[in-house]
Amino acid sequence: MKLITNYKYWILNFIGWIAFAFLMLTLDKISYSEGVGTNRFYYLVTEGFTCGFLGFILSFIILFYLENYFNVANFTKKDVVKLIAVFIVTQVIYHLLLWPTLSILIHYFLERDSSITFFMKMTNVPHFTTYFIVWLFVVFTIKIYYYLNTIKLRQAQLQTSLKESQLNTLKGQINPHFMFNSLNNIRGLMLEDVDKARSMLTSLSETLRYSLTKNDVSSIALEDELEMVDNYVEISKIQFEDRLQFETHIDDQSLTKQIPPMIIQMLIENAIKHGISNLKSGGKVVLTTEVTSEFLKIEVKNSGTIKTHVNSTQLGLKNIEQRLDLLYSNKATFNIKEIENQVIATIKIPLL
Amino acid sequence: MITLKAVIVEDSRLARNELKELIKTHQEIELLGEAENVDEGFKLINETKPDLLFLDINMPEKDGFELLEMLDDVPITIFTTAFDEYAIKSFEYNAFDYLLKPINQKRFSKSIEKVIESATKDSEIKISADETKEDVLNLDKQIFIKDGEKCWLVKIQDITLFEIVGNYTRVFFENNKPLIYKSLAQIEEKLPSDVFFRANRQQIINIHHVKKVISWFNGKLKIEMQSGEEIEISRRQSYLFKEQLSF
Repeated sequence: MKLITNYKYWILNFIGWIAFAFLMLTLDKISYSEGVGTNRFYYLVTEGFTCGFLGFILSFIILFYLENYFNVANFTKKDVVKLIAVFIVTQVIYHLLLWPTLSILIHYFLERDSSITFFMKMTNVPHFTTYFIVWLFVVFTIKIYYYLNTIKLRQAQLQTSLKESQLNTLKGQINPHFMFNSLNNIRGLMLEDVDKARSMLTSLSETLRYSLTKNDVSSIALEDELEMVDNYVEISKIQFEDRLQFETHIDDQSLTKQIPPMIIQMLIENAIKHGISNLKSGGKVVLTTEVTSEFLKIEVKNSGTIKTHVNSTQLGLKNIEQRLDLLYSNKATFNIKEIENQVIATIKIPLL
Repeated sequence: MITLKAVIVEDSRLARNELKELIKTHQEIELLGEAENVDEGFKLINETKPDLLFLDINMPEKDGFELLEMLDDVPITIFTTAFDEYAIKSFEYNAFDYLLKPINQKRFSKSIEKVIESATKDSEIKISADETKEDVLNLDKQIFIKDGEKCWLVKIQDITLFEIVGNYTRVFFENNKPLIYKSLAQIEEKLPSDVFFRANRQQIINIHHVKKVISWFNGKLKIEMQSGEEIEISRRQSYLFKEQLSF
């Protein structure tokens, strides 16, 4: 954002300089001099205008330096020294131009020579320097304001892209262990039941396709997810055989509700991997969905106990938690608890 | 031709079938039995004393590594796993072989060839090994040690020193000194007493790895091991030591 090429800045800067000069100098002088004659009044107005206008013109020297050689976000001591040097040079030029001009004005309006002594001129230096310092502060503030805005914008952009990439990595993927075990089991199944092996291959393909294609979708109907879950359980059953029992209680209303893809699948996978597969005699996994006025509740219950010392358990659960957090901020909840040798995982998703 | 007596420990029935199908193509393997979890596998191995074990890693309640830790004599082991980076990494340190499921027939044959090769080399020693008492470990037998991420298969004769660390025992061999979760007394029972000597309350040494014996004060002995460790033998044991090693 360059001020030097911005017409609004030109206008506001001009008004600023003139107004400031009038307020600081001209009004003061007019009110203090008793019985101001018309000529003197004109002179004072022209004098204020001249002081302001000269400042307006010369401020561009400093602005030019600021916008081309000075970075508000990242400047060195050397840059500051240079800025001060430019500032001082501008002051010198200002005074070199101001006093001769004022002499001419005095001569013109008051028809006499200027009686301003060198000493008087010197005492005026701080006065006019203050104009420039005020101007510099204003410009600096504008610059920093714009700079902060760009930072805010960049941060927001960064956060969205971060969120996106986080969601991508968190998205459910078919566990390779499951994949290869299933392939091996199907190979074994071919020896005894070719038809079943064929249908298992189809289920495995569908599971794989689902995890590949639904990965870019942020939400999916629960119905579709259930199909995936059925496939997943079917395939798991050839690994665990009678050790795995699966039961569902689905609320009809829930079928059309949107959920993040693979989220039920991850709960089921977790229940099988850490519940059933650790039990010699196997167990049962129960999936229940329920729609209330505010929430869609998904519950997965499995035989077994929560083992907190197994790192991998935490990883899968953390993943679900983070995904819900990223998608629904704090509105969705996820918790897992153990009641009477059953592990119950519950997700509540707000209905939009 | 050598015959390899083998057992399978794997929880999935279909995966066992798969493996049996592969084994069928190798007449030199005689399958003695199969087990679907670690406890059954432990029983089966102790009953049948196989030469070769096909072992799945992920099984209910206890995993394959735990089975190996339970065994006093670990047969040649081929791990079968679907996909387990962690497990595969730990194999890279040592002699274990592993097969990835679904198992490639060529890869399987290669593993079996390797097993036969090493079994042929060991067969002479094996015969003499069978003559010794059952409950004491023979020097040629190997034990499985797992400490954190690393695991080893170590021949008893390669172990230099056992040392008490709290309730556990540190095992010294080559340049490794992992911890095992057994007490020194438990270990002492299993060791052949003519080779492993209780030097003091804390340590048991392998006398085949002794470099130097030095007379210490008070009738005590001090021993320098080939690996550089110095061990002080208690007074009572010094007496025994001299007796045991004198003509």
